[in-house]
Amino acid sequence: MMVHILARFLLVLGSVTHCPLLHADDILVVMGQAFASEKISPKQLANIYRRKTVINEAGERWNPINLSANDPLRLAFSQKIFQQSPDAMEAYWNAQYFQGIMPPYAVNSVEAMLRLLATTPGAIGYLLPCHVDKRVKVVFKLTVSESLAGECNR
Amino acid sequence: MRKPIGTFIIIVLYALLCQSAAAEHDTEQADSWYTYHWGRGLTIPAANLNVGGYFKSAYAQQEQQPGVLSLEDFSLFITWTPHARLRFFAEIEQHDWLNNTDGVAPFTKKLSVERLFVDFSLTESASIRFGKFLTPFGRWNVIHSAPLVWTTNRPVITDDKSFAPRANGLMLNYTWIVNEHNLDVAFYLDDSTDLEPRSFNNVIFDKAAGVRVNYELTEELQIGGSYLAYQRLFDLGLPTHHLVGVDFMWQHQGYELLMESLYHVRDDPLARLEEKGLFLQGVVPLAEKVSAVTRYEYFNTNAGVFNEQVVSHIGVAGLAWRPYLPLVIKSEYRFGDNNKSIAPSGLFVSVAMFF
Repeated sequence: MMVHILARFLLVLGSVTHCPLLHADDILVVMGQAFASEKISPKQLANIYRRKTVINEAGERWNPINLSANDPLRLAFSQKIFQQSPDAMEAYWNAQYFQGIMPPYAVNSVEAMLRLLATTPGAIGYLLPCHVDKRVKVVFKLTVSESLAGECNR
Repeated sequence: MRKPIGTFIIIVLYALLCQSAAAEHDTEQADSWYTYHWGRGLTIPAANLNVGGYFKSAYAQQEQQPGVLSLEDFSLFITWTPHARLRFFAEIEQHDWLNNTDGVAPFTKKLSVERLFVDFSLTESASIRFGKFLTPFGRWNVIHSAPLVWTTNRPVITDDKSFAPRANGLMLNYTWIVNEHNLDVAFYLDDSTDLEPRSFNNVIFDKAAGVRVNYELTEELQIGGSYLAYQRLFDLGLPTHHLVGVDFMWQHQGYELLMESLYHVRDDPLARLEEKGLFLQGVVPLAEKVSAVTRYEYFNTNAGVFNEQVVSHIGVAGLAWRPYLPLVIKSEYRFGDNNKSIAPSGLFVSVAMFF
């Protein structure tokens, strides 16, 4: 808790003084442009990615999409939403497998993520601001402490 | 003797060799009509179907008893999701199919339907389950499969002595988000007498009703409570059993602390049944993929002859090695006081794997 408060303080101080003391980037949670979006909280997002929430308000299936487990964007997203790395989450998925529940589908590239989001009802994913195009719309923004600027050039 | 040992060796070798095979499957079958991922089963995306399972092979050397090597569990999971709101799940198991004292049992004799249910999502937060499912009392019973747990043997209070591990009926699940943490409530009704499919397990409910509550205090700490009232099939006419339990689980970077407790009473004026028990289990990572496990159990019951109160103390100390995530090799020594009839002392070794 103290670490979190200190991190927030350093971020605010950095933005006021125009001297970044701690670098932060945004991850955008996105859905396909053609599909209805709804307001969701970070905890609801975590439940969708944990396959705990399987349908949305309209009764359509949520299709959470991940990047591959070693992707820096996936690592930052997982740390922000679950406070765990994708590797640490595998124990959770082992337990879910025993209940017949499978982890979200994973893709190898941002372009594959964009294509799936654009064509799959109920699909939800995450991208950097530099990756977003007209095929998707932003549901909300997550601020992470990791620097992800280098990921824009992939 | 020769055949079971041969089978055991084959299983271990298969488990150790599977890693490379699984890695090949991941890449080679990306565009195939099916995908296989070690520990996550065979998926046919077009049919929304997944088939997987697990096995457990164990060696038990109880004190003053001959050693027993057995294929304890061979379970098959079938999951079918034909609709956004619907999910069918079945677990078919061969339990104690072969061992070095009795040999190989006839295939159908040890075949059982462990679970068979359908989940229907009512809303984002509510779902209803109908069929045969694991009784949601405490934590261990619902995640009891060998690749998931840290020890070869179950704690006594989670065994089938105090309640039936499976229920047949209807369960309503609801999740609230309270202060950005999940509060899960499950309410269930059982009618095993009318609904129980074929099973080897004699300890089943006649009728039962229960509730389970779980709250995530943080991402690492969960607390829970359970209540169950039931009548057993073979004690019809006797008063209802009542059980309450509280539990918690804390997990942090490989460390784990798990506690469960129960109080069980049946107010029979002629022979009042009373049981209380708990266990506390700790896991400490020693090296990469190797963890030390220790457990203390307390069980106090008068369910035996002449309703005499018997107090048991049980200790378990062991190691668990997870060379790959779906595979675990466990070794433990169990000891105690007044434990011979419920959890005999001895050495236990097992190999378990999701496939």
